[in-house]
Amino acid sequence: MRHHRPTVTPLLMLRTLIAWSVTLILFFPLGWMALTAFKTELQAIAVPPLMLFEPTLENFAIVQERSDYMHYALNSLITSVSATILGLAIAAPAAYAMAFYPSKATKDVLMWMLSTKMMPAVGALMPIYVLAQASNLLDSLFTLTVIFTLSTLPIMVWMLYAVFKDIPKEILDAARMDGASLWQEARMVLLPLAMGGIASTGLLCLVLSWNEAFWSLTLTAAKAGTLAALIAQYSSPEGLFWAKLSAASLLAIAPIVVFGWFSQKQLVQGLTFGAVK
Amino acid sequence: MAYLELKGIEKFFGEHRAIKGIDLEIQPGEFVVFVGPSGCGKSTLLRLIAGLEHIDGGQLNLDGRDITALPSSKRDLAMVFQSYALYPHMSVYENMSFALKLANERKEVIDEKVRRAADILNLTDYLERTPGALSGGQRQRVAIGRAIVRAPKVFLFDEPLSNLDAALRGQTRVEIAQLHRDLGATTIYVTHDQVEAMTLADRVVVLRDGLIEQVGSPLDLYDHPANQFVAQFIGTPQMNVAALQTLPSAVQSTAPSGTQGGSMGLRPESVSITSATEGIAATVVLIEALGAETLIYAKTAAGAQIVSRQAQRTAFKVGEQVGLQLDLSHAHWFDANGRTVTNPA
Repeated sequence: MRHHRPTVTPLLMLRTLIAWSVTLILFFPLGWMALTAFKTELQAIAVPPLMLFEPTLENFAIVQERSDYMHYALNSLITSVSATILGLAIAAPAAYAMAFYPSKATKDVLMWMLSTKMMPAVGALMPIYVLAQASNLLDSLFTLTVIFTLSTLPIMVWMLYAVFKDIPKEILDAARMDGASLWQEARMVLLPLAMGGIASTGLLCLVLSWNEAFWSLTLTAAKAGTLAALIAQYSSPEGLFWAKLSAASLLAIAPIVVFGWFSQKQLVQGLTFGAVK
Repeated sequence: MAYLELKGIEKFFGEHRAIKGIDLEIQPGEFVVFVGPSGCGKSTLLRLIAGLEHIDGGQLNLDGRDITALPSSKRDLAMVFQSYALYPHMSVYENMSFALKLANERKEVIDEKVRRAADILNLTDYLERTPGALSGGQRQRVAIGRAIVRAPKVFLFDEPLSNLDAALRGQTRVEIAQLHRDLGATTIYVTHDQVEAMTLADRVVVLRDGLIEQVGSPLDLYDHPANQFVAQFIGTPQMNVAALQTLPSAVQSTAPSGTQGGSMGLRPESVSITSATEGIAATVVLIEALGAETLIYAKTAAGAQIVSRQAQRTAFKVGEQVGLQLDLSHAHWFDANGRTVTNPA
């Protein structure tokens, strides 16, 4: 089939309109938050809402003064990066086995793993909290890392499974015939071929762990708190301070948004792996 | 003593016994072809020898050493895959040198070996390209090159020509034969194409349902098939086989003893077509004029379809009544179980 430059049809216009509307709706809260972060508390609650105002950095200063931003950011960084590395180390061998040496149970195992994601996290809250408490692991980076790893593991295995499935097994057979050990086969043949997919899997795990709030809030306090905990501090007893809350939130999401912006191509590629051949 | 020796090799896929105890001895320098219909286990048997599948029973010896449980990487065998299985992220040079690099061969030695192989296979101009930038035939040659740079103990080919078009297949077949003559390497070659088997092999192993039906030189299989399956699998067009009771009584009376309920086979070149007044009455149903030879398909009154091969062109037309002359001195006789009773002398 020949490809023509698409002509502007009413359908295309409608689709474009819908796409933009959805994008704006999704972006609006974020944009509004970014605006509010630069307002004073009074401007933030003004009715009708102010669109034009003189921006101030006061909120950021207060947030940094009242709570140590770097402390929380570092916790977020440590837990999400560790969870990603640990997750890849567990998910890659699992996906390798399922993609290249499938058994009758492989499909069921994959479905079962995915089904664990359907369970609401609160369902596991009690046992995990009690376990952490009993073993003196509340408010610890270690616990958080393990929880992050476990909760993203199903998705990582699924993604890596799809990535490996796209690689013909005969190429790995050929490497083995050429005298490669399992490790050499993985490092010199599989890894270079799957690099893109592995990178996007890691990126996704990083983003998901960074954004995780439920377990961060319930299992940590001052010591191991992540940026989610930092934000939560500003919606507390003294009442809501919209401007400071916005400033804290903006600080919390800024690193991952910037990171995501530069790696969006990888992320999209990863999420659509196996979907289009 | 045999170079490669298979003793009672077995393979199970779940409950299914895919390879049912194969015994075979292969001599050094021999070109052995495994041939059979799809699903007969020929590729599985090759993968068992390669070490890519686990051997569930029996023993495999190579060069006086038991390699049954040895991993592929330690067997010192090279394999050419049906899909070529080149490393897409490496250049042709890297593809061909990969095994030598893994074996910690010296750089100069690798370079010399790769360039010599590339020279033999006309790949010198393509060494820097990646497989994606090559044609199907060139990829095929890289796959062969990757095997020959190593000088392995045995070459394994898994249907290497089935992804090529007809012209290229014929040409590559000739090249593989030449390569084997030049290198003298022990080779096992799997194909479903009996023409490849006949033209390349020193010995052909015919497989069916995980069992060896017959082992022999190509012409030996053609002239002295052990059973009806081999008789009909080897040779194009297929050998004519007719159940004894559908044959005229004059023919039946010449059948050797032991053929009750059996059948008679006759190669197409042993059947000639004459005018309707002589021989067995039949009607022409199809004529294939191939130039150098002509194939005439005819149906007898009893319903048997018989094909005749002749070197001359024919004046007969489809639908015409003709007579079949059978050269019974070349007849193969099979018993009720399809086993050969007698082959022509």
